[in-house]
Amino acid sequence: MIILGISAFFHDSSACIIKDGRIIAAAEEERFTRKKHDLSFPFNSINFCLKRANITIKEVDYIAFYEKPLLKFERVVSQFIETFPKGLWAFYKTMPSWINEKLRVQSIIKRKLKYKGNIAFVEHHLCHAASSYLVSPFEESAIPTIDGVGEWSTTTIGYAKGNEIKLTKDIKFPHSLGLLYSTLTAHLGFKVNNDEYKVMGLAPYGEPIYLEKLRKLIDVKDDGSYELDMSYFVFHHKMQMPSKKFIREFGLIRKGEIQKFHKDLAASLQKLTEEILIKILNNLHEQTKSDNLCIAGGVALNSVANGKILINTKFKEIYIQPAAGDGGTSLGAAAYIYTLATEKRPEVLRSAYLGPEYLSETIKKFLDSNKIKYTEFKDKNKLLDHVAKLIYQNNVLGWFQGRMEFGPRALGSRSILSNPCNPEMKEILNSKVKHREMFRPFAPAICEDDANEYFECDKPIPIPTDFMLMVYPIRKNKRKLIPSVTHVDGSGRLQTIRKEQNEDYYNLIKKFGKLSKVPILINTSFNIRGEPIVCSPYNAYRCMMGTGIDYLVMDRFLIKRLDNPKDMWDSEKFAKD
Amino acid sequence: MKRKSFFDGFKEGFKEFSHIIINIVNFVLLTMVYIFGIGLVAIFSRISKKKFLNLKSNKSSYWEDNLIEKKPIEKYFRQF
Repeated sequence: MIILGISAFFHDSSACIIKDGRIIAAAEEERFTRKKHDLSFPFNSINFCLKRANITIKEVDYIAFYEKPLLKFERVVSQFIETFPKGLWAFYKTMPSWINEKLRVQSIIKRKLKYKGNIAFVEHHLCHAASSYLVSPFEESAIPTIDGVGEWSTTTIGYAKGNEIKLTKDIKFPHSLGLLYSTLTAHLGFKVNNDEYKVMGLAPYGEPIYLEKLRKLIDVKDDGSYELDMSYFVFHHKMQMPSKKFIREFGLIRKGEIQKFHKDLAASLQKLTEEILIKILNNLHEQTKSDNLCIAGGVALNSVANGKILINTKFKEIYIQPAAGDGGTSLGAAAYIYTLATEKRPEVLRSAYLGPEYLSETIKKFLDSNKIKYTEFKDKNKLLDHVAKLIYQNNVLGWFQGRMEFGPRALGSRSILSNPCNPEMKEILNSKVKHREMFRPFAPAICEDDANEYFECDKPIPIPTDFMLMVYPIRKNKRKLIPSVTHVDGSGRLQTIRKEQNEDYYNLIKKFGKLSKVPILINTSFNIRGEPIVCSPYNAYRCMMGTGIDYLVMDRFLIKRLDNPKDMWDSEKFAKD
Repeated sequence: MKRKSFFDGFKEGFKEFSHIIINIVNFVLLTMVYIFGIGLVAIFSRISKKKFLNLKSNKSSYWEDNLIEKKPIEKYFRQF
């Protein structure tokens, strides 16, 4: 049984293929087209998935699409009717894509892929639920899904046992925790559907002194259900988020420097989000009495809130898959239809390495054909020794190994690695490569067996920690050892690595630990500012040569930036944030 | 060469011009749909007090029953 899952035409288009229960491949379209959050039909991702599964489209039993387009269209039209005549401009801006693409999904899929089989349309929040529960290790679980909006639902709760998922209750559009977070993201001068994590990073710098003021925007009941006061929002009829009343209450949208007010507002929003999330989860536990929790939707990418779930609720175990946002719904759609068709669940997803990989020969061919100077290491162990030493000497290193990650985080396949013990490393990384806001922390990567020594993790360490989805406090006596990854509140958004997931990466961290006495590396995404994470050897090399990355390790090849001056360029001149 | 670049420039200019025309036509047509389609439904719905979007409610809980559960696979072939 072969199922191809597709998500498209909103943001973060992606594809995923499941063959006889194995999750063979999954990737976001942006990595191939190099357009961040690309929403176009994921033609490249689909081709990659089919190639990886070694099949043609004719062999696919079902294509599963990540939402029911007509239900969503009903909601969109309802918005315009209810808010008439305020929505003319939004109507003009959104209708062409509905007419050209979203209402013609079936014919587009059939025509573009020359597919003659059945296409299944799975409810958006059911896709989120399936993307988490069906690939989790649990036999039963409570499920909340929280995001901006699907068809009508913005938040759902339910329970799953064996092969069956039941979503029982929901909160409907326009009342949305995700859209509340996005509205404040916009108000703080960041990009909606892109920069929500920046607000999360900014929050620890402030005090939640605007919490009571924010409560005016949302009425929250003890059972976690909530309703927005829509006089503060205009997203249901305009192409923007906050209303004039919101602006009067919280001031103009930030255009200049970040002030204390912005930090306090971010802190208040983060606290409010955590409060609501914990209330929803406690109510869900009351109803289901389950020890297990599978969470999905964009809000599940809020790693700060995730790190507080197990200590503040009665749930004992948690699972979140690496692409918890809309990018992961292709996985959910495929997993759901696979389970429905076979009465069996797919394999447990313990690794995010589902994307393309490049063989040594391909990389060598690329290097040779472009006359790039490099050193080839026949012995992987020697390469790792050398790389660990380079990082220890405070070099910034591009790490391109194996299969690309699925989801928004770089997890040791397409990563930039550096030394967390150097207090200057945050500035070095920012000046050489990332050019990002100074308030944003860098993430520590640590082997799973060392994590409890440095972090106050839940025990046992939950699988989502492997996907950089949990923030935990760094132990007080260790904070001074890793200044570059210690956030202002003493926390770290760590990634744990298990040997069976990524042996080279695991060994590299261990080797670095032997040199520095601290078995931790800084891991940040391998990309130029404003671009998606690199996918191919060309992307990786271009990124190194356009930034200040000192070395690039692709498979067993080590490339030094200064050895290849002919290819240097300045990515900052072209960067679009 | 000069002739080729003239035609390339002409082609580009014509493309831009056609985009402007498309946008104007789209705007006119969609405005008509908005006023006569959406507008009329909105007016009738207001007269009959029908709500298409629940903007405000006063409830003890905002959770709504909405059971989504296992269905035969054929039901998923529908887009609604």
